Amino acid sequence: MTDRKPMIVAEGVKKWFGDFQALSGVTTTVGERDVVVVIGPSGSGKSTFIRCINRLEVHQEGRIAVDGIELTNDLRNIDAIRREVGMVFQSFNLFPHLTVLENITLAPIWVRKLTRTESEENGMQLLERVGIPEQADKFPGQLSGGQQQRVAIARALAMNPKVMLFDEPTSALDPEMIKEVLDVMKELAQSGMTMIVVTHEMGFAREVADRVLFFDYGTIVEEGTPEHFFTNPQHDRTKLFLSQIL
Amino acid sequence: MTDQPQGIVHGVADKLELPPEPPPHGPKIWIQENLLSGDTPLAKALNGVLSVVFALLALNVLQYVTSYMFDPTRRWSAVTFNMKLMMVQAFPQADLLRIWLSVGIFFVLVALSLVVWGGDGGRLSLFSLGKLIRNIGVLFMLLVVMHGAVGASKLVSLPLLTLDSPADWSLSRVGLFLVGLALFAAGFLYLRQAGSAAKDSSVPVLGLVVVAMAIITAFIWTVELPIPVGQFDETTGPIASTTTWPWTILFLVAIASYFLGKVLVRVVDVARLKRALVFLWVFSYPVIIMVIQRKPILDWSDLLGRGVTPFAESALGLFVLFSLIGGAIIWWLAFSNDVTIGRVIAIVMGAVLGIGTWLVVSRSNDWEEVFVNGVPESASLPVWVAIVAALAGLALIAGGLLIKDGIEIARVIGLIMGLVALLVWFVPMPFLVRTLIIIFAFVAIAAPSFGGSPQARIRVLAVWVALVFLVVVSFVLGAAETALEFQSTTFLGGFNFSILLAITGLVLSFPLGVVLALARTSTMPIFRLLATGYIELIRSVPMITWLFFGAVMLPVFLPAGISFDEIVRVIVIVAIFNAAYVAENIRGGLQSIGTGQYEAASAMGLSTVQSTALIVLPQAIRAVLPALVGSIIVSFKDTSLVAIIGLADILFIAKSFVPGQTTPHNFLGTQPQMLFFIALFYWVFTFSFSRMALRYEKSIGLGEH
Repeated sequence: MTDRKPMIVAEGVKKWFGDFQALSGVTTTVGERDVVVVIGPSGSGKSTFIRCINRLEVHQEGRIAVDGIELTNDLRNIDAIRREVGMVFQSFNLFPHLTVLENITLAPIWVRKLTRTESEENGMQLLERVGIPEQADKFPGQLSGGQQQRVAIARALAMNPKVMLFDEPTSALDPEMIKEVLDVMKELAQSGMTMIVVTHEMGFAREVADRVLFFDYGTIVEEGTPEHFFTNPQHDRTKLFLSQIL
Repeated sequence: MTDQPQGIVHGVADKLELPPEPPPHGPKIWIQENLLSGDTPLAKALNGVLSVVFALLALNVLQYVTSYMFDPTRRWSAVTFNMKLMMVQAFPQADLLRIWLSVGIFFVLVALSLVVWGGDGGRLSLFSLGKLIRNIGVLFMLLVVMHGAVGASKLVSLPLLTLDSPADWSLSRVGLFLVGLALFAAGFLYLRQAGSAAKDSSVPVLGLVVVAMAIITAFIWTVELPIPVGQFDETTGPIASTTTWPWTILFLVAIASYFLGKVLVRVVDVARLKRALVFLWVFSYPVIIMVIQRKPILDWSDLLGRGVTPFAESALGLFVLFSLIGGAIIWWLAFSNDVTIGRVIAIVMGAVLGIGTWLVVSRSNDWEEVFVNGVPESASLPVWVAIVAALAGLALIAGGLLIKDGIEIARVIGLIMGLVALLVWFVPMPFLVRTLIIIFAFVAIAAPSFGGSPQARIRVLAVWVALVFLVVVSFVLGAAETALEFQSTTFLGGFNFSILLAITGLVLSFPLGVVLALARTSTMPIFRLLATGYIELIRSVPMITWLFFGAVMLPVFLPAGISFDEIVRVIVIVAIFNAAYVAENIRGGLQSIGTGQYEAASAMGLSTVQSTALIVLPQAIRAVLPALVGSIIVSFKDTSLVAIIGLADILFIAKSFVPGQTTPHNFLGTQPQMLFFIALFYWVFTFSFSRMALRYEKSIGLGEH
């Protein structure tokens, strides 16, 4: 883990929403090809942290760097980072007025300036990779939740990102659909993508994660391999949280 | 001892079943369902009585309308005789062919669009068709039975129900009753016999439309319309061949172009056809108004500049100048959407506008005196403006070069727009140049976001050149004299004018409304302030007042040297007025879009311009389509207000024919008929528009949950 090239570096990241401190000094490094799972109670700052990485939230203190690019107010850096980072949201956020294929090819055409044929070919390949090539011409409203989330994953992958951020991707799905999405995420992890996943799915963490971070009150309370967490958690807070979800 | 808890296994469903057959239709079932619905006998009786009473009320209203229409004392000749006047008013008789040509082009484009976009209206099942015919037959019979003819003896005389004695029925009334009976019988017997099989087969709706068109064509060839005779009488005569032939030809041309469309779709790529059709629609409108209907007198000197005027100020010269220089700048700007472009825009714009203004203005002022004696107190406005603009331009350049952090493009845009507004308003330049500069500013700002790949750059450049071409050609055509000879202040009048006003006003108001809505919800305070001020000012005052303002006061507010034709002024006022309401509708839509959409768009790296144009605006407009359709319909009807400033739209003409008809036909007392016709006319358009809008909403999947 430590000899891998650092992909995401966070040092002493602090963020306040008004008077409320959401992040109170987060320091961690995510290496290339690492799969990091972030767990913790709601309000602990895990979503805020990963949203800070692609500037959907602005951190007030500390330093974040993605693939060597510093995250500052400079729009050029922000744009460059957003091109390398793909994000999958809890509520999918697909564009309802475009078909599935158009959703996927939108960013490659307008941001990476690829031709339409190229983007559509890549798009169809991605749809096959996530397992739903036959839905290419349907609208998001006509798909099930699991299929929509898989389209969202394909859409994020269409930009060829180096890092994929997942913000509770399966929290809005029912158990059978959760499995289809997790399978896609496992395949993605095994193919070498750097991933940070905020989730409650412990089974996924156990199978695929290189590291697990436990967040509480805006900071990392404990971190370690999945084995460490499930066999030998140290901190009281960690033990309390795990006893409720395992 | 542990006892295994026993569950019960039911197994999966074997196969899915069809729903049970509905009970057979019949009069008894119909009465039970529609009249006698209810839980208790009292509820059933009350419901029955209520249903009958309200049905009779509705029928009475209809019957009143039909009695009014078919009363023998009606003078419908007022409407039929003045039809041409109501449609085109002052358009010279000799050139009426131009009007027919315009209608013909419209029909052809509609037929081709129907084929290419596949909106053939769907299919109507034979079941629905049968029901429709049967119900029309019933309605016919009821109306004929209830028609209260004047002077007939009554069989039944209740408050809501008066029936004439059959002995007093005229022959035509009996005939109509039999027609109703025949329709009812046909529908009823067909449904009885075909049963549920009728739901499977269907006819295309377009086929029915063609049948209707054929019936109307036969109608206009055979029917006789009322013609006035003397002061109070009328007789009937066949429709003039100057009307029957053109309509027949137009219908045939429409059907022919539909089939041509079908052939084209098989031969040519559909996407290319769609682009070509959009191009044709956009260009047909100015071509119809400016070339076909206006018949301008053109001269080569219009294009090339007259005599002493340098080539650079002639139409062709401006086209070449702006296409080349503007095109070069835009080609360069469309290179990438790197934020450095913000700086480059600042520098280039600063140079062009600041220094350029100085150069342009310095031609018309005595600079030696300025340098020797200082700027005089009585200096004309342009001198001060030139100084300010030049300084602002230099400031922009300095800012662009010095500021290290990426400037928010929006702030640069604000500066540019301010500078452009300053330049365009105060500096004396031909109006064409001012318009081209404004359009250049917009395209230059959008270019970085929509450019990038070589194809995209070519597309942006093509759009720029096309816009310059369109503007220059419109100006040349607009400035040319018209060869038509007409008697009133303008060759446009009647419905021709109403439609021109409505379409132009609406087409111009939509982009302006979108810009206003985006400005009002933007993060920059100055845009918000300006947009809110504009909207609240426009909304504070009724449309009539704005029309007066446009007709009388607008010239005072425009920069020196610009004057507009009265019709252009009215169109501008209509556009400005509607833009405010459209902006508020769209703002409602913008506010209904969840933040998730913005987040997803920015997480993928789309710029603000791109996410607004591709993600946010389409969804906002879809959300408020019903409100927008309402705005459009209201604005179409508001065009009748131009009567206040003396322009002759269709309502003005209809009202102005009492009295004042050409002698010897004096149409006293015909105003009700004219107004009734106008009401029906407006209703046909607004109703078909709202039905089309409804169908469009369904086709893009709105309203389905």
